[in-house]
Order: sequence, then structure tokens, then C-alpha cells
Amino acid sequence: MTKLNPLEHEELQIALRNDLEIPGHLLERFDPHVRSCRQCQHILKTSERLRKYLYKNLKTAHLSQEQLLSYVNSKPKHVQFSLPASDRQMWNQHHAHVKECSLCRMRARHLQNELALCAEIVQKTAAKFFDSGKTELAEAQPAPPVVVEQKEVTAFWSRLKLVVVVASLSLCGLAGFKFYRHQLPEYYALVKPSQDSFRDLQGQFMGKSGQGFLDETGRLLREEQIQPALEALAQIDERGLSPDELLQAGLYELMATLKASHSTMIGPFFPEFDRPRVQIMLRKMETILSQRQDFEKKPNGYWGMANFYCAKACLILEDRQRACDYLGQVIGTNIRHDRKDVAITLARELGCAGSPAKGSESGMQ
Amino acid sequence: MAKKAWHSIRKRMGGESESGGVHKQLCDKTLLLQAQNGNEQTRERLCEFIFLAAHNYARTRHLPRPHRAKDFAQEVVIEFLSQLDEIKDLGHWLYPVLVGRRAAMYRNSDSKFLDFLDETELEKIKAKSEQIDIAEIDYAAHLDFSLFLTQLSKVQNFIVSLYYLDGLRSSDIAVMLNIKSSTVRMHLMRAKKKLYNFLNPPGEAYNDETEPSRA
Repeated sequence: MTKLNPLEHEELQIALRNDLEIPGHLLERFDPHVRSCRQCQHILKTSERLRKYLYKNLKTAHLSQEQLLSYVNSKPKHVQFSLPASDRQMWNQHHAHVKECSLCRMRARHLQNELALCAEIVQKTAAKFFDSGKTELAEAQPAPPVVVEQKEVTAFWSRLKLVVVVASLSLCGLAGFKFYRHQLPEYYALVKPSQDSFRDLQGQFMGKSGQGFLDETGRLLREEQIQPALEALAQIDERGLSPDELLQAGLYELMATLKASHSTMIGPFFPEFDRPRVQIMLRKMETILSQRQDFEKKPNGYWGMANFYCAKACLILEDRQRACDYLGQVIGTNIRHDRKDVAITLARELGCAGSPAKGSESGMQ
Repeated sequence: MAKKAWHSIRKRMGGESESGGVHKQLCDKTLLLQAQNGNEQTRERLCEFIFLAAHNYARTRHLPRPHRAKDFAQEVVIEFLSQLDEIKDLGHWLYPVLVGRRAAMYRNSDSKFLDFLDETELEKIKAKSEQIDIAEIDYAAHLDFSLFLTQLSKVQNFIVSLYYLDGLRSSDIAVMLNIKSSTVRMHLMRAKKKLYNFLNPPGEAYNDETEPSRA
């Protein structure tokens, strides 16, 4: 692909106008492009024309770089003894100019530094080259240059350092992760907070039979809008609710709290629960359940669901026995609700006493 | 007297002393003499060394794209072979060659992009710049180059000279003048604009798109 897109074209023109280096990714396509692009050709022609004109005229006003190099590179002893008279005269002229012209003095200083740098590089190479034997000489040309060799050695050490640093960081991370996993609830895998969705819940358990406010909250929960649902539930005046509505509201709040208390730091990794929040909600739910003892005599779907989510909250708080008690309440009644099958499976996985054997769920329902 | 002056300049430049540094002998002078007397083995050995030294220098100091360190080193070796008989001190010859060649590459970095032009077009550009000189003679009062230089500020004058005469990059000039690289580019563009207007008839305005602020 040789064509440049408008952005690349603009980038190229900026580089040409400002005499910057051609960007690396355009280098290959530059040549075919410039043959066909009049704008780029114009920029290049103009700058070439200016450059030629300026170089020619500036040379007359100042010393050229060649003259300055020969001046900087010459020593007085060369001037006095070895150079011919014409060269000596030229050196004196250059010297007089440099003395007068601040620009040329600056240029001379720059060239002097550049020569010193060059000498340092060349002398390093010479030290290696001329001090080594004949056999090494033969290898000297194809082998990488001295500076590159030094870089390779440095690169080896830095690579080694990098490996050590990465290994230590990984170990620290692993240890931290282990410690973190240790801190997680024992039954985290059974609670499955991320898989718990309220979308599948049937209408009768999600507020269709309740009051308008609860209906709305149920809708929010079904749409997984947990935070708005919690905010709505916080505004409920519990004094005006019937026991069934109170249970319904408590159930919604428990469901939403369990969902909201689960968070993960990085994607699916490092999950955690806001346990104090769960604890408070569980207590509240237990109070609601204890207010109506007749629930056990006339159990309904909300009651069953509330027990199921209380069992989940207990698992989060690592209280297996209480979880089993709640699950036993759910399984022990003939009321059908959306979480009954899950409750049976959970009780079996937890090994709760009296939990139905595998394959007998239908009989329990 | 000249020696004293030289020492004072060296001192001001922060350069090396006479005894060492830049003029430190690179190799035994007999090697150079042997090569000059036609000893093929020594000549090859010196060529190897110069190739390696030039390559190292180019790798360390960088070259403008698309020049390669290998090509640079080869050119220096060719120059060495062509001037071998005249060389008296290898270091004394090699350092300015390396520095000068690299600077010339930067100075002519625009020319390498003019491959799209054929010979006649290149001649046209050359002729156009020659015409400017003739015009200068004809209208010396108006088109005198020194007059143009007076139109530039001192900083612009310095920057233009360092850029076009020595082929220094804006980053190098910025270090020398202790200003920002972007400021150097801005001054350079303003100077170019002035020069363009100076060289062209009043009707032809300078293309403002070339302002560096767009960069």
C-alpha cells in the first residue's frame, strides 16, 4: 500500500516543512508518494532552494564548516613548523575571524566538543583493535562494534534484573492472592454471587401481587438495577405495610443487598463481600421473619424465598449450620417458588442433615 | 604568540590539551608508513580499523534517515584509500573527516529527497539559485545578503547560520543556545519566511501553512 491517508499526509508535510526526520512508518511509502504529490514536491523544492542560497551566502559571511574544522583540528606547532606559509596565513585569518565573530566562536566550541567525542569513540575502538591479536582482527569486522558489545553486556544484566524483578513480583502476587483466597468465605463457590440473576424470577414473586411501590421495586430488581432498588426500599415507610408486604420488602432488600455487597476488584478476580452489610441485613430479615410466627403455619412464596436468601447470607458469613436450618425450612414446605430446586441442590452440596438424596427433588416438591 | 593565543582559545572552548585527547596517536606510525609504501596486509588492517571506527561513530552519534552506518563507514574507507598518500597522522585525518561527513549528511538531508527530480529539474533549481546571485549584483542596494541578515534578530541569525552552515539539528541548536527546541524551529520558520519574501516578488506570498505552530 503506497497511498497515504490525509492524516499521514499532514504528518509528512509537517516533517518536511519543519525539516524533521521522516516518520519511520512513512519512510517506505515516502518515495513513491513524493513522485506523485505536487504539494510535497513544492515544499522540498522550496526548502532546497533556500538551503542552497543560504549556504552559499553564509559561507561568505562566516567560515565554512570545513575551514572551521581544519582550524580547530590544527595545532600552533603545525602552524609554526609543518604547515606551508599559505596555510599558516590561512590559519591566522581564521583565527582573526574566530576572535571577532561570536557565532564562529560558538561553532568552533561545538566542533571542538564533537571532535573530542569522536576521538573518544575512535580511541576506544583503536584500543580494542590494535591491542588484540591477529586472529581477533579477522573477526573484528563482522563482529558487532565495541559500543554495541557493551550494550549487549548491559542488556544481559538488565534482562537478568528484569527477570528477577518479574519473578519476585509474581511470587508476591501469588502469595497475596493465596492470602486473599484464604480470607474469602469458605462457601464462596456455593453462593455463586455473580450467577445469581433475578431476571428469571416469576411475576408473582416480583411484586405483581404487592403494592405499587413494591411493584416498582420488583421491576427494578428484575432489571438488575440494584442500587436504585435499594434506594427505593430505603424510602419505604414500613409502618404502613402489612406483614406480607413487609416480608416482601425485606426479601427485596435482602436480595439487593446480597447482590450489592458482592464486588470484584479486577474483572472476575479478587471477589469480596461486604460482610458487615450482609450481617445487618440478615438480622433485619430475621426480625421480620420472627414477627410473624404464623408464616410457618401458612407459608407463602415470599417466605420460602426469604429463607433461601437468608441461607445464602449465612453462607457468606460462613455459618453453615444456620444456612442448613434455613434451607431445611425451604425444602420442608410444599410451597413452590423459583429457588426451591436451587435450595435442594445447595443443601445436598452442603451436606445438610435431612437433605434429599440425589434424584428425589421432584418428590420433595 | 600564536601558541599562546591557541591555548587561550582551547581553554575557552573547554577543549583538550595539546598533549592528549583529540591528537592522541591512534596507532603506530609505522603502520601508516607501511600502508603508504604498498604493504597490502597493513593497508587492509587499517581499512578494517577505519571501517570499525566510522561504524562505531555513526552508531553512537546517529545519522539522518535513510543513511546507514555501514554505508557511512564504507565511504570513509574509500576516502581513506583515496587520500592515503597524503595522510600524516591517522587521528588528525580521521576525526575531522568523520565529523565533517556526518555534518554534511545533515546539511544535505533535504537533497536526498529530491530523487523525484530528473537532471534537468535539478539544473533548474541550481540555475535559479545562481540567478539570485546575479540579481543581488544588479540590485545590490536592495538584495544584498548582508542586508537580509540585518532583518533577522540576533538569535534568528545564529539559528539560521548554525542550521544551514553546520547542518545542526534544532535539538543541537537548542542545547547550544540554551533554549527550547520548539523555539528554535519557530525562529527558523520565521527566518525562512522572511527570506522567502526577500527572494520572491511581492505578489508571491509565503505559504502560511509552513508555520511551525502547526507541528
